[in-house]
Amino acid sequence: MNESFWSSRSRTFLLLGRLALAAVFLYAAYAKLRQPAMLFALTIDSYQLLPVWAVSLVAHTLPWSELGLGLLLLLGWPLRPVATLASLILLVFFGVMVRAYAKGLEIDCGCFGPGEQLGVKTLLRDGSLLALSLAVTIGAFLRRRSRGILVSSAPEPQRAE
Amino acid sequence: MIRHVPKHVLVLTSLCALLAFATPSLTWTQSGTADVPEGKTFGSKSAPITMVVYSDFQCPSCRDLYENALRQLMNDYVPAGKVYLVHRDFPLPMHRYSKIAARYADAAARIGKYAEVEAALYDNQAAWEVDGNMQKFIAAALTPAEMKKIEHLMEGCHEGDAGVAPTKMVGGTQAHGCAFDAAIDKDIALGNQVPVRATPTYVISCKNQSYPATGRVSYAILKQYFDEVCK
Repeated sequence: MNESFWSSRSRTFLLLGRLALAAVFLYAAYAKLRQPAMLFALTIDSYQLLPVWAVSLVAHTLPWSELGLGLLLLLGWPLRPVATLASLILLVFFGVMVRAYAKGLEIDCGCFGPGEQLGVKTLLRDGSLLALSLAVTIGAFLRRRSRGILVSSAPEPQRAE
Repeated sequence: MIRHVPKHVLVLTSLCALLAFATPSLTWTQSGTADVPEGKTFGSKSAPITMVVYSDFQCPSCRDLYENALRQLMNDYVPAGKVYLVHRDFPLPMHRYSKIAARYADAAARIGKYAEVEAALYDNQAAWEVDGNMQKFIAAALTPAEMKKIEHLMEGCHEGDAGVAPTKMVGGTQAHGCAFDAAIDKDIALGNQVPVRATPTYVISCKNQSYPATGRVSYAILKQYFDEVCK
């Protein structure tokens, strides 16, 4: 198993992971944007977490943010901040969902539009997405670092006599 | 120019576009307004907005929905002719006393006192859900004559109440001779078509579009929904 083998594997993982996350964010945005924003607001409000003004603000802006993030992940540039942002957003989603589940709230997840109840299945799915996003984020940082090390440790070209 | 776009971006964009066209619309057909006993509907049938609520009297989120939104709605948008509110029963098997509470509410609807009994049941849910003794709260909301009428209508409905193990379950409900059970079963069947996966679930219909939502909601958000989507 040489270095180039691992390098190729990690590049493939980063690419597939990034595209999977892009697809998830784009689909989540699409599912929300094709419904009235206030329908999403009803779901957000059922989490009993935000004040009225924030519920409305999040309902109107989150789907567009997901769309933007999905497009940036699709393009893959700039990967490090975009992957970090995706991980943070998924971490917030997951935390909010775990809180609602622990409180025994029987509500819609709201992840991909209306009609999907929050439960173990949705928690496992969002937890897996969070794990994938964290792996992509860590991979993006490690790739840059290893590139840096390779460049700095490379032997200097010999001067022509 | 398209040659400069990476292949994977093109493939994923095409997939997303395909998905966008292939995904069925997430709207629901308007249902649940037919065959409702008159006492369980509020407002004008010709109101521009219809809201059908599937609820369970023993469920805490249903109480929250009632206390935080429906009560105000019944005093504001309903009398103003903007909303036609329809109550449907969806007693969950996990709640021991919700079926008997639904029967009492349905009996009250027969004498035009649904709103009073609904308020009494939700306001005192924490007290009666312990032992199932809801009669005293219902009686307090009615006159003695009205309570007598309800008790008369409830004859045959106390079988299978608190402490009595269900003898036969048909479609999630007990089979015996209560006059209101057929209507409750019908509500449950209608709810399953929505589908109701948790209570409360409500379906808001306006402008030929129907959307279901689950859980409690504050009145301020509900009003914003009506004003923005149903205007």
